[in-house]
Amino acid sequence: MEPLFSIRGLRYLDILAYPDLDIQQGQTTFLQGESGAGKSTLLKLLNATLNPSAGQVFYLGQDILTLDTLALRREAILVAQDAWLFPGSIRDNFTHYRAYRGEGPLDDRLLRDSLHTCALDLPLETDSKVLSGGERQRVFLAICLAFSPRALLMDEPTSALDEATAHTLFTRLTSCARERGISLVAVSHDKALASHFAQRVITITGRVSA
Amino acid sequence: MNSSIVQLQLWQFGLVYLLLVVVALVMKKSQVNLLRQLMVSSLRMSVQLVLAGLVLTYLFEHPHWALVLGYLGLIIGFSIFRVLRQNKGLNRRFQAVIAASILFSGVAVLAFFILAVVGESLLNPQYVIPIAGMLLGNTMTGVGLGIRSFRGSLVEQRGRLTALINIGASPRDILLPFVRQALETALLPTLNSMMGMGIVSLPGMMTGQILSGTLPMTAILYQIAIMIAICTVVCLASFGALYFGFQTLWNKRSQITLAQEGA
Repeated sequence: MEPLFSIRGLRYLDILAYPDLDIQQGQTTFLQGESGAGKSTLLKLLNATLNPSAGQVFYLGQDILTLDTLALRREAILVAQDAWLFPGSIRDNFTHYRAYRGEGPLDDRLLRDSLHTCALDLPLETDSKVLSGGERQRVFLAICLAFSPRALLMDEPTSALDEATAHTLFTRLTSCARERGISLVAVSHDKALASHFAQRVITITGRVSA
Repeated sequence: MNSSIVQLQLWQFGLVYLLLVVVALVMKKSQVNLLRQLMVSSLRMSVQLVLAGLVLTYLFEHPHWALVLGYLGLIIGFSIFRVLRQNKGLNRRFQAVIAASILFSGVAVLAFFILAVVGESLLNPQYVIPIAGMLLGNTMTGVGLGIRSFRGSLVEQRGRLTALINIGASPRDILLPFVRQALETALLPTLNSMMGMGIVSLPGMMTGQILSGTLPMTAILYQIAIMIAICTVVCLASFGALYFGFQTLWNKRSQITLAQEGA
């Protein structure tokens, strides 16, 4: 089976140089490394929101330069650390984000399932204004999960969560991902979480070049 | 009605500058640090208008087509320059779109107004210059406001852009709501001034005509015509600048770049 992503000779702005690596399909992969090692930048290079200054990124064996970028981003969604939500309810947010991808609203049951998987059991009418940082992050994650992507590239998904909630989130998320064949890639500093849930841990050493 | 005009003597005219002293005192009292700007703006406005008066006097006495076109070019060029200067950091294609929008909308509406509505020659400086000035002045304000509002809201809502890009939304769909909102911002001042016109304010052009002895009804017909022309040119130029300009903000890889490379 082709790897989900492979990178070869990848460099960014001559600041970061990544070792060649493969991220496998259908697995939960944790990316770890020191601050400034280039973990978040790597996620952006993988979903083509940033351009490398050298090297190649392959998605399922194909150079991403030859792929339809929007289709790539729809299959491998990047869930950034700072979640942005539209004014309005949680349900409105599902509707707005889906409309931007030309997809209709989902049944409330599916929305609740998605939120539950993301360890958030709030009423769909809850106004996004009253949500905490961690809740906003999980609402956005739930929205992305409801798109049924092939992969979720998550940047510090538990940075605003307590230990127990982070554990619940990953228990449910990995179980759902296994059932639906979704690959999970998470940037996280949480070693305990990685040791418990990761099928593979990759240490990123995007060294500063001379 | 007394149609004779009171010719302002220099000392009478100078009295009006006393009002600026009042403004300066208010600024000083309320610690608003705009005194220098007030002086520079007032001086610049006075010098520019006196120069314009001298040039127009010469132009009306020697109406040559090259001079009329040159003056027209100066008005259009300056309004484009002002809009671009207020909005530094735009990419070259966006700048070209703004310039083309102002140029084409301005010339098209001006030509229609002079040729069809007034029925005069496009080279008659008495009509072309003041009407072009009014049209382009308002276009400059409207387009400048629209572009500033567009860029401001993009910067303010960068998180929204990032989230939508990350889920695979198309840059066009992501940016279009910002274009619509900025277009509304560009048009609102013109529409608002039309709402209050005749009740709250008697506009400058009409006042000028009445003061110089034109019958109020004639002045009003001119004013209505010019307001509709202003509304049209602001709408066309803002639409062109924003609608065609926003399409220069993403590349083949669907990445949105708000600022010029290296800016």
